[in-house]
Amino acid sequence: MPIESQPIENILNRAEDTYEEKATQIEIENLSFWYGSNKVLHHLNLSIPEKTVTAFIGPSGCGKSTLLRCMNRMNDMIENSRYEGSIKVMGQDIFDPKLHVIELRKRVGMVFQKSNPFPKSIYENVIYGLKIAGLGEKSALDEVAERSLRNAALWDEVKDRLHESAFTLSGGQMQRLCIARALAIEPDIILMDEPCSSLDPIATANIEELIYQLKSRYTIIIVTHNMQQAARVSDKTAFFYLGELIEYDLTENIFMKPKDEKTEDYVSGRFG
Amino acid sequence: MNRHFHSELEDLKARLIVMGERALEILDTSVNGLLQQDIQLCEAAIAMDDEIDNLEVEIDKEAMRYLTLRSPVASDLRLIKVSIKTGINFERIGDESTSIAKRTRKMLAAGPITLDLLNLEQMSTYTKEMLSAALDLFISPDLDKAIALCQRDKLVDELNQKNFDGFADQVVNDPVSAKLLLELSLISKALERVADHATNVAEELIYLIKGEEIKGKTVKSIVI
Repeated sequence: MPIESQPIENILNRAEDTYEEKATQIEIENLSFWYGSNKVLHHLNLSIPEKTVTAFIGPSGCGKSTLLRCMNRMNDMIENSRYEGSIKVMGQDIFDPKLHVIELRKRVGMVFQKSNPFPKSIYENVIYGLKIAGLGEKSALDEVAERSLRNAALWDEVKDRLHESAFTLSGGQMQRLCIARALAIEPDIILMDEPCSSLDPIATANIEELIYQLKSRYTIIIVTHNMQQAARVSDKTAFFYLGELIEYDLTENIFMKPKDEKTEDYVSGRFG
Repeated sequence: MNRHFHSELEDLKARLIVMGERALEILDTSVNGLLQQDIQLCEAAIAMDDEIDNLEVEIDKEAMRYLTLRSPVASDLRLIKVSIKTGINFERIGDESTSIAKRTRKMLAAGPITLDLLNLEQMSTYTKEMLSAALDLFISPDLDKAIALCQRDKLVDELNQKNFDGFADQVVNDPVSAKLLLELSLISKALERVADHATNVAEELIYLIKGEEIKGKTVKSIVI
């Protein structure tokens, strides 16, 4: 129906529908983190709602990527690192010694700053995680590969060349392939660490549109230095500075009427 | 590529059209209150103004939100600017119409109006046509029609001047009716202002289409 013909109530109520409160999926409580003796996160408390996009912003060294990597315990591999506090994903403490880290990473997928396809075919890249997990039936793998590539908005571009090397793809396509690989294991949460930083504006727009489509099914957390990107793609934004959470609110509040002077200075480019 | 947030611009435009329709409705109701000497129509017009004020606030809010979150450029950016300024013009049309309704109600409270209304009916017809044409331009942008609309403003200005002179003459001949004649003169001025706001809307639409401000320019330079 053309928008001019729609009842005014439909048009006026749409904005309110966008920000309805959702259930908490990730609960961060009093989290602190150290690299050796260097404390980089300070008593963070944050509730992240399900099926929304949350952006982490802040200057370099503010701890946003460290926090992101805590969420699927990527920091475990760093020597002399330690934490205090807790992160609960759907009520489960991810630092619980009984929790297998592989199980956690099946539920919390990650996409990195630089696309990192394996030196394998496009198809093999998508199903790699499933094969490692022991799923070997070809028809099932084919189905997952197609579904994941479709969900990553890449299927139409690669369906006729699935067995070509992943390195034949463009930068933007490689990043979407990495998203497809993350989706193949059917996570609940996708962490994205500056996923567009090495992409051109069109590839960036493609990834941003993909993020928008994926949020109906996944909880997405994106670290970005691009504040306009945070404003465009996220529902909520957290601003970090020197390892502290300065402000966390609906994105439009952060960018239109931030409560904290530091947030105001950062988003308006007056920082430093 | 169409971004998901482009639909928000369509929503904004739809809200503006709704607001313009409400402005046309309040103008029509207040003018009919005068021409039909109907206090109930005056009351109805006065009651409509709040909705128009609320729509302006909503449009401002949505435009600011889009400006902040979506980094608009080119025609998208122009639409945001046009939305804010057009919202102001529609809101002022609501205010002028309310003023016409209130003045009419005040006059009717003293009894039926027996004075000659001179060109008020003709002015109201022109202003309604201009506002209606401005709304059509939102749905189907057309540079030639927008320019033609701007040119019609002069006709309303001339009728207003004739009214002013005519009511002033009547004051000399009928000093007892001076207050009523002053009210009619102010109603004429309110209609003239409505036409100005409709012209402003057309000028904003020319800016939207061409990307150029036309205030202070001749029509010839716009066409070129």
